[in-house]
Amino acid sequence: MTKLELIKKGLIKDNPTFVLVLGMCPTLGTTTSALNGMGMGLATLVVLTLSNIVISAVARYIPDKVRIPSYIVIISAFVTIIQLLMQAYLPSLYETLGLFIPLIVVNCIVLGRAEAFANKNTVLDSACDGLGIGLGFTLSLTVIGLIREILGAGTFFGWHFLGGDGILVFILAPGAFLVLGLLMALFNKLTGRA
Amino acid sequence: MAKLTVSLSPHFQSQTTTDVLMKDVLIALAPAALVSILFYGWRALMLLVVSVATCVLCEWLICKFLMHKQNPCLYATILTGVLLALNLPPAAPWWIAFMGGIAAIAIAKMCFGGLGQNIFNPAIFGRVFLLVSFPAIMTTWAAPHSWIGVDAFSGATPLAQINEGLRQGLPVNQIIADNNLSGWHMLFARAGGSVGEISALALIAGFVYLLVRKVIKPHIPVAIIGTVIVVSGIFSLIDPARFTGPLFNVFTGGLLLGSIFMATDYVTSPMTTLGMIIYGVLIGLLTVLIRYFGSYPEGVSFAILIANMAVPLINKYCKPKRFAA
Amino acid sequence: MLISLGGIALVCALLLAVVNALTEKKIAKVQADKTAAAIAQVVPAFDGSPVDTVVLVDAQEYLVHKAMAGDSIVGYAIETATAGFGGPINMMVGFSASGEIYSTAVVSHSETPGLGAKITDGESHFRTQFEHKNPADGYNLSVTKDGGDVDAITASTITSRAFTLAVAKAYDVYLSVAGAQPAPEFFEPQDGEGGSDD
Repeated sequence: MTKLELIKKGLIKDNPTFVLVLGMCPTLGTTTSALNGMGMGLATLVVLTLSNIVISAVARYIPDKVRIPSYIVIISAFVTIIQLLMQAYLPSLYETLGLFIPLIVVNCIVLGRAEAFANKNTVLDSACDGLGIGLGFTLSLTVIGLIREILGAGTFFGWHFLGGDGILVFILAPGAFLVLGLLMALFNKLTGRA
Repeated sequence: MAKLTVSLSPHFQSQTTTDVLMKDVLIALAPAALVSILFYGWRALMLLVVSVATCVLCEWLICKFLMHKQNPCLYATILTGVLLALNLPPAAPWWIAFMGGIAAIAIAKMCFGGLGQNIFNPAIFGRVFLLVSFPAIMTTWAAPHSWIGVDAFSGATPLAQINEGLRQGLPVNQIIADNNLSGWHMLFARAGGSVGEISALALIAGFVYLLVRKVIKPHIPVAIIGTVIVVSGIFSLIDPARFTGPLFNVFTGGLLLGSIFMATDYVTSPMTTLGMIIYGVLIGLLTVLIRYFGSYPEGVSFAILIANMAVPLINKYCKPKRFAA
Repeated sequence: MLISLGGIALVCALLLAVVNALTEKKIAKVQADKTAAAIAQVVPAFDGSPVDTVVLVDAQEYLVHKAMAGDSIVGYAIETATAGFGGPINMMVGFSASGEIYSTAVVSHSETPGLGAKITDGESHFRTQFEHKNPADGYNLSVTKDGGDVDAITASTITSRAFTLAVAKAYDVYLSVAGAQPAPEFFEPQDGEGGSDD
């Protein structure tokens, strides 16, 4: 597989949200607006790419028995770094994403890619895989956030195009499930999986 | 024409089709709909028309373009539209009925595969969708007072009046006296509520018709109302100043409309007698608990939706015994 | 096994220590800026930085920021919190020296978007109605449904009640602070004298 194919695979064929259905907690919890979804997606993308690179580089030196603890330590180090940087330089985004940033540690996508891909592939391939899956995640979260924002608040990336409020249910928790479900159906229809 | 299976195997073939059953339910709803038009005038009629038209159109579009078939039972769709309209506040604008109709049919019914496949009662889902989305409109009630129309003023339903009064620390009987909320007054026609909640008598007439025509069994409504009477009776005996009594709870809000017409929906209720009783008790219990302790004054719709989720589980554990067992 | 896991942990710890050292000051500054911005929003213009004191009212601690212009106090910014519909509402309530509510700011909240979250809109009638009202002149700090003078946000009575309660609490704190403190016009600080306390 070429490097480009590795990246493209994460966007559609192995889309983490609509196909692998991983990382549902941040997907449902942070997509109240397009910018929040994008912020969460990008934070995950950075953690995923960095942890994929490091894990693929050191995987062969780690004994099998302490594989998972080692991966978790590496991933959580990156998550903490991202958290500190966001707190310092993007305080308003950090406030809205709040608890979900530390939760990237237990996002199945990150550990899943470490186990399924990074520990048996080269550093460069793992970086591309992390980038692709991360982009797929970011794109999905941004689209979900955008739809929820347009329907639920009448805004487009924060720009108020509609007077008054939208259909509130879409920015509340049930709306996340509704939009995710409908988008998943649409995705399956378009990719011919259904 | 599609046949509706109403029990687990073994089945008997019956000549009663879904269309006939749904027509009977519509006839049973007629008194409530007529009384509401009588009291709320053209607004109630407008909500009924918009709601039914939206439901029918929405299902037709989805059937034609996504499923490539015909609507298997038009009357079931019309029924959803009528029930939704009867669950709206009379002062609601037309687009509330329109959006509720789309939510009910497109999300709650067709996403699950259409007639007979849905987990949640579409009309209740539509109502809760609207209640969560447009809380200001969905809780602005109009008092019934004239033939021609209604003034949209920020009135409160009896349940909301109680909820508000209790927060101010008033005892229940004083709030009831202040707002003229006696059970007998409400039996015929009372102030404030959804379009279809206006007359308990009209709803009970529909119930009797359904029982006579053997369209529904009495178990679910009786279990719900019985549970509400028992549970609210216990609470009001413990502390009559904080908790409203059984009579008040039965005749206010959407309890009669919900238990007679929506909890008994074939698709979303259990199939065995024992299952029906468990389901009814669950709805009754949840309704009283939400009314007493929840932040929304009314709990029937939420209770039915939650109980809908439990139906597959109830069916699993309440299978009829096999003949050979 | 021990070496590899220990090594990874050590490297990660070192890395975190470095990042923490780099961001520590910036994070503290961001937080201080946020508090300062909230204070500046709720009291009249003042000089320098506000004087912070902790006040105990009804067995609860409140942080009070006194805004000074020259030697006189121009306002008090009081941090309060109440339980809203979706979680705690943290607020900064400002009073002018005369005891008028100057302005309010919501520091953090978790109210329902589109409903209770309207408390963050500083331009809304709900927020502006508090401004320049003095509870000492009979302005009743409770919502109209409870017999007070505050118009609640439509369909968000619980949030409106919580917000109003927070302002009322802040007023109690103001009374205890301003009561203990002689009013500015009677108070002449005598700089450079009475240094025997040092």
